[in-house]
Amino acid sequence: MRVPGPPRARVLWPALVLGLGGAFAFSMWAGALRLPWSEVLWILAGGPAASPTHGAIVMRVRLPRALLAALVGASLGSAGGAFQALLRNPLADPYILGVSGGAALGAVAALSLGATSALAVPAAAFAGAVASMGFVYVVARAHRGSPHTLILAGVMVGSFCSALLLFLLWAAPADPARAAVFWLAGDLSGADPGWLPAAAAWASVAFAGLWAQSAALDLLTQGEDVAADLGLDVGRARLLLLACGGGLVAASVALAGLVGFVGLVVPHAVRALWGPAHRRLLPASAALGAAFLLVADGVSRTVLAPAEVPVGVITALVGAPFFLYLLRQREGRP
Amino acid sequence: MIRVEGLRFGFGAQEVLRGLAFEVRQGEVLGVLGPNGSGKSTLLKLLRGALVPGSGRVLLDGRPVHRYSRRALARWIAVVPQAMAVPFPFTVWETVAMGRFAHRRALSGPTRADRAAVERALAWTDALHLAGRAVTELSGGELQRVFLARALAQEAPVLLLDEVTSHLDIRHRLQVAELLARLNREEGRTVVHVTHDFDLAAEISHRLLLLGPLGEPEALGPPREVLRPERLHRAFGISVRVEPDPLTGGPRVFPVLRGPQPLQLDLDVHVVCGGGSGGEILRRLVLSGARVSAGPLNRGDTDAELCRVLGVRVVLERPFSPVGERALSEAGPLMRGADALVVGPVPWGPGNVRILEAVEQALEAGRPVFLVDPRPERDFSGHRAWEVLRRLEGLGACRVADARELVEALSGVSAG
Amino acid sequence: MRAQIEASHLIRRTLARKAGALALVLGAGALAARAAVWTDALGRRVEAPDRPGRIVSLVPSVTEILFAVGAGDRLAGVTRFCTYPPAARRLPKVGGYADPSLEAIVALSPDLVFGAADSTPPALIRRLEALGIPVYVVYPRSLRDTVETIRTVGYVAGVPEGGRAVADALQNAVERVRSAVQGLPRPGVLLCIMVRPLVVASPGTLGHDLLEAAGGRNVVPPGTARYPTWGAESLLAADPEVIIVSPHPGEPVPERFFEQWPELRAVTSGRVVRVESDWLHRPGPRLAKGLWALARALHPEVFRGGEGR
Repeated sequence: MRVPGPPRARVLWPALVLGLGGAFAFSMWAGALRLPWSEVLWILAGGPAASPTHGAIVMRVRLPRALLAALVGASLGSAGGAFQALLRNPLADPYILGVSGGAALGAVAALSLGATSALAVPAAAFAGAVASMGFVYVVARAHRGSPHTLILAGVMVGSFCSALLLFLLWAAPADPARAAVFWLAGDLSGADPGWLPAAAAWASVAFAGLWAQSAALDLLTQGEDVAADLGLDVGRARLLLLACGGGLVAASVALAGLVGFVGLVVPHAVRALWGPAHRRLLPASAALGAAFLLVADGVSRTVLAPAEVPVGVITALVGAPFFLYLLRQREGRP
Repeated sequence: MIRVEGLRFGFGAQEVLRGLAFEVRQGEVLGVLGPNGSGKSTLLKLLRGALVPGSGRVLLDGRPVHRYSRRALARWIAVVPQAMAVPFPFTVWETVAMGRFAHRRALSGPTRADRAAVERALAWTDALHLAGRAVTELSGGELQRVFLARALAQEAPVLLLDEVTSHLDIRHRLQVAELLARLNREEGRTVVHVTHDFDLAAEISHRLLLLGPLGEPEALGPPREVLRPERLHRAFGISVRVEPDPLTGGPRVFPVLRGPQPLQLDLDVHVVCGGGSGGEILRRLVLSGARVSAGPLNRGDTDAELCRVLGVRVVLERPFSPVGERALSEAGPLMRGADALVVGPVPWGPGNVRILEAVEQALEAGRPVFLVDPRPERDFSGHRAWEVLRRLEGLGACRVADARELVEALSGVSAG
Repeated sequence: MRAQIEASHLIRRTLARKAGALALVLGAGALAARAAVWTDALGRRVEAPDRPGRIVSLVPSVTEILFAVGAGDRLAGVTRFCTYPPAARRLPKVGGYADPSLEAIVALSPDLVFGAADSTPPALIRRLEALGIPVYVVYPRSLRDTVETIRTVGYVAGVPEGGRAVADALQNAVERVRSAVQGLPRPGVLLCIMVRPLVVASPGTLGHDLLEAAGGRNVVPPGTARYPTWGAESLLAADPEVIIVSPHPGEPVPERFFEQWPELRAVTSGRVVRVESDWLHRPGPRLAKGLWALARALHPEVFRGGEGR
């Protein structure tokens, strides 16, 4: 008998590839300066630009940003999908486990203390993310480590970090505070393009770790007891998933600040269209997350040009109504 | 196959199971019964290694359960949980395919063997037509079948089921019971199931384990031995009656409803009835403790069957024949020896009107007679029956409206 | 005899002088008690002493102006951001400019408080008024506003001549620069408040007025925000000829930020110029310094040497 596949399976990969390509093209074209497509392609292909600033815009501003947006979007999308399974909650987002609190605290502390090195903020954000997630894991494990306790511990850590964060923002002089606010809303402009290869390598390893656990993720959605009965070593799987997923989120936050809604909405959309099996969900969420963030980034650079809106504002403005729409779709089902 | 030795377990200070030692034999169906809080579910968790015993051991094929890796254990034991809604819209096929996790190697996709196992499991549980549906759209019964199929797909020699039928309707309960019996018969799978359903458990289980309210083993053995009123009373604290099933002979448990305390009658009462008219009367009289006899009744008559079940002495006539001399002469002493005679709302015809005449004789001999709701409409004997009834009333027979009034009236009669 | 008469004359003259001085002092005291009524930048009616003796300034720029016009000795308290002139640092502090402490202000028993419309919390102003302490609010948004404010602060503080003098000096400096650059080609200028993120001054700000007066052309188009955040692309697209940056906490060498974009004209021609932030953004007498620095950066061939007269 033919295995019944997910709905619209045949359309899945072509649609995603097309979407990703289109989003990338949009991101390269959008911006404060209206460059004709021919010139963009010409510069990308390696030809000399009409003026050095045009060349710099395409190759040194838009291209690295697009790559970064794709990387962060893919990381957040796939990590979001994995966390939703791990926490047995389709409404979870990758920041729920205290990651955002710790990362924000690290970054804002670095900014407030007037850190001068360009590496300071991302390193502090990364350290904060890892520290808070590790703390959440340890606290939750002492209390059975079930999804319930993980979420509670994450909320607790997040709240604590928020409080400290507000204090820092209050105490800091005006300029670092403004920079901190910008970072908190998601900022794709701060990352040094030189970090991209290392970041991509890290993200690839973490993603591979997640993808290899697809079957485990499927089982975990059925409940921890059921998963154990079906043969899964739940404790080990949980640790691996938190490490890989957390690694993806920590890297994203370190590079781009708190870009919200990608990790929440994208896996939902993928699940609605192509089903929850994680072998498909994870790569599809990565692709869709990348496309989403590419488009959001393009919009953020264009809508109020030459000023730049933080990309997190765009993702929230698009994400929230879309999420409501998804919820209503589910309501319709019995 | 699974051996339990000296098992004790508690949650904190609360001991839930104590002193369990038994063996689950290969290829048997073991039903686990017990009141709520007796640790049935805990026992299942201990059997499959989800919990660690406080003391004692659980051995699977000779090795302690905890020595097995999760994966290896899943190839031995498959658990069917109670159906609970899952928030993720996997298809039925995908859900059942999860049962193959223990057989699959880490990074590979599903093999042909996996697909075949899933298909077979779906066929067994009659869920093939649901294969493409999302589990979020299924009813409770369908979802339970899917979970059962998933456990089957594991192709494990032991199946553990935890109260999977509690919330299913009667049809699905039967289906599950039949399925389990078939699995055991045709594939030799060992089944341990926790259930509240005495009758189905008795029907399909080779042995039953009855746990008492404090988690101590009350009985272990074939259903007939375990399902005894005194044992069930000790375990559940209720009064029951146990009867053999008319068809299969297996024990059937009937809880005794404690309604308002019936009047106690220490009397010998003979009931004349037939055609179903005596049901209520016979039941109430038996409940009130009276020593009841009845007849003459045709063999196969509804009331005769009821008498048999209730243990009431009944005088029987050949089926579909008018009451003959022999039956009457057998009933006569009963009538004359009873403390009271009851004539139920029987339809009278030429075949049974002679019984009324015997009643008249008994009345004249001084026996109290009670007529329950006598009506001329039920006289098909050409007015003969009605005339006798009128005479009976005239001679002092009491008229009562129904069985309840009858019992009240009888309480005024003293034993002769 | 003559000595006696001379002595009594002397005594009488001395007495008279002393009596006159006493009369003057009493009279002045009477004058000082007389209240003046002003209308501040928000249109509020402010009743304050003619020559307030204890002033609290909640605005760093007003602190500078007060010292410049000669009322610095009557300052009783300032914010911790009032860093210029050095004498201001020695004064008692009442907190920041966005969150000064009401208690600290009241404890100094001021007879006049200066606030700013864009930094002093309105609730605080109301509380002070309720306590009977007059608050004069300033709101200088342009170069012209600043000149006016200097003059007004002088009046309100009781040193009208000082106010006029400083205001006129600033005005003259502006006029001189303006006329010097008249007719000269205007290079495109980007005035950066911060570099990480890149926050720039758009038309409608003080910085914009300065660079226009200094003979430059602001490359930031008029928009909704006065200090928008720009991305690298907007920077490259605008490609200004001159970039003005100011060091700020966390960014002591902001010029280095632009070295990563060698495609920019300003970088290749070495026209990324650092100017003190206070000179450009604090609406006070030091704007003249800022103006000169800008003028020198934009038109080096015309403005040479130190600050002109």
